Amino acid sequence: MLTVILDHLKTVAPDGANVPILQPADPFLETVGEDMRRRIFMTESADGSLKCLRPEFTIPICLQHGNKPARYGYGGIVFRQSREGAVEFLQAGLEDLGNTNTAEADAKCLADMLGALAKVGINNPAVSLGDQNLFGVVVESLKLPAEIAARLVRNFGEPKQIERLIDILESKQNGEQGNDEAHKLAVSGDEATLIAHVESLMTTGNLSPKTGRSPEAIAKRMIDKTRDASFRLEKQQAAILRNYLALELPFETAADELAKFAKDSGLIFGDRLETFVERVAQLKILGVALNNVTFKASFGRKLDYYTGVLFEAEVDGISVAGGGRYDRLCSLLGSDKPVPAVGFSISLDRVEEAT
Amino acid sequence: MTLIIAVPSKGRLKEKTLEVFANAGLVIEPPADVRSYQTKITGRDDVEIAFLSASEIARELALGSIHLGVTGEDLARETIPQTDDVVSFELQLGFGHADVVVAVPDSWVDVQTMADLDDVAADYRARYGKRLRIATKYWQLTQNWFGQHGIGVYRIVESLGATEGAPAAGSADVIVDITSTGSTIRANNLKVLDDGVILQSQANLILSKRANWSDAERGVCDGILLQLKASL
Repeated sequence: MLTVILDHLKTVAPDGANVPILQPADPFLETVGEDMRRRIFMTESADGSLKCLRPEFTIPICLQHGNKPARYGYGGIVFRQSREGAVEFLQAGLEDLGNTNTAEADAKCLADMLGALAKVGINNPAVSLGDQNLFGVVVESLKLPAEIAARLVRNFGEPKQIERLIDILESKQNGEQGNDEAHKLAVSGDEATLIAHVESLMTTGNLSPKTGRSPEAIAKRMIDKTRDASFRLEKQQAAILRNYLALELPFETAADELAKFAKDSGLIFGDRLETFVERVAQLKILGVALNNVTFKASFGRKLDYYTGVLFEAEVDGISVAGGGRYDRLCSLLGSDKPVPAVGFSISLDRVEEAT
Repeated sequence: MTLIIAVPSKGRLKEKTLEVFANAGLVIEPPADVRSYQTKITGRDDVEIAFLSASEIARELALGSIHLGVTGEDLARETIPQTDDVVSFELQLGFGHADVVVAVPDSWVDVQTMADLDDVAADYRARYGKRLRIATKYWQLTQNWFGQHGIGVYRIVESLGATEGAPAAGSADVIVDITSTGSTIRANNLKVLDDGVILQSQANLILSKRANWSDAERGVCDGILLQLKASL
């Protein structure tokens, strides 16, 4: 099955990637985080550097990527700890790096994922599609305090957490305000004195103001926090967020429905829906059947490098493949300029299970 | 068939364990040979006592090579993945109290709760290009706790010695550590978050579900638990 997919991927993603099984662990830990640490097989090399068995292909491919736009096909075993006991999983996929035409790259990526699935006997699977950006647009158009908006966006992709957060923001009077020196200074808005106060606490604690959080950052957040303490999400704002997150729309007509939702809710999407509309158009040009694709407003991933479209293909409730846009990943990995990136991966074990 | 109970081999945990057992009429005899770590309870041929270190006891419970063991809940939860599937906490023994807490520098005047820490962690990466660093010996507990609070953007820095010194040493921003009175944390100009108590731990009598349990061993175990419960 892997050979079939790899042969097919070569036709759509000619750039090869060489991803050794033993990888430096740091890039995975720094981007995916501690959640990854419990799932990867880590070891230490003689020079003390942390290595791991490759848990996925995307990060190593991003690290290898040069300056020219490229489409990389890949496939092989990945190693992850799972509760069920399995540790080796067969994966194949594609990464499209450097294409600045977002809608076109998104559409080709989804089309290629469905094309590759068809090669292994999965035709017209149910696809859920979400968009990290659009939720950001909804939040933005509510004109909330920056830190509260950031908190909402950050929790997108975790339905339970975001529901809880909306509940809290709607109900809470952020009561427990301190009564100490820092709080008084924050209320008075005396930033300079507050910075000096934080600096003196740092000196007492032997903390260098140069490493870690700076006195300025702490003081600024303290003032913002004090100002936002009385913030409460209005009923109508909470309703807009909840209604948006509950949207599940046939993908073909989703753009129209979203425009209507914006109008009914008094939101201004402006040109922010353009990529969405253009993506649908491109998919139609590519001849992709969209009748089984559903836009789910709440569908996302709580990883801060995902930036746009996200999709997942299912057969009888088994997720067989998924992908999305992660424009922030290369920057997080150290690239000095942003690299537009979209990709997918197919779980061949799940495909086998599903067919 | 013998019921194997592991008890701490040294220090206050050992003394208190012997005391609690003795109060219940279960007198743990000193090993016949000072170099031996095995002994018995006076008058009981159906129980074997093994002296092990507290962290070994947690490991052996996970392996199922002992039936019961006395160790801290913190160690058990830290050492044994999917803790509650593998062991059950039968009895809190009333000593060895210690809290596992999240603490930040006093100078972080804007941080009082886990929600604050979530904001700071997200901003930290955006601002400084790396993850917030947490020094701890308690990897599992930290990962679970931060996961429950939806915080993913952090990095654990392994701490083998004095965790509470990590922020001043510049090796971490935040700590997760154990404290009984909070004085060490305060002395290092750190403060515990309002909702930053991960676990209120104490010494527990813990049962391994992975051990071989015959009806006879179960019967002996029930009897010993009853005796201990009655005397606590």
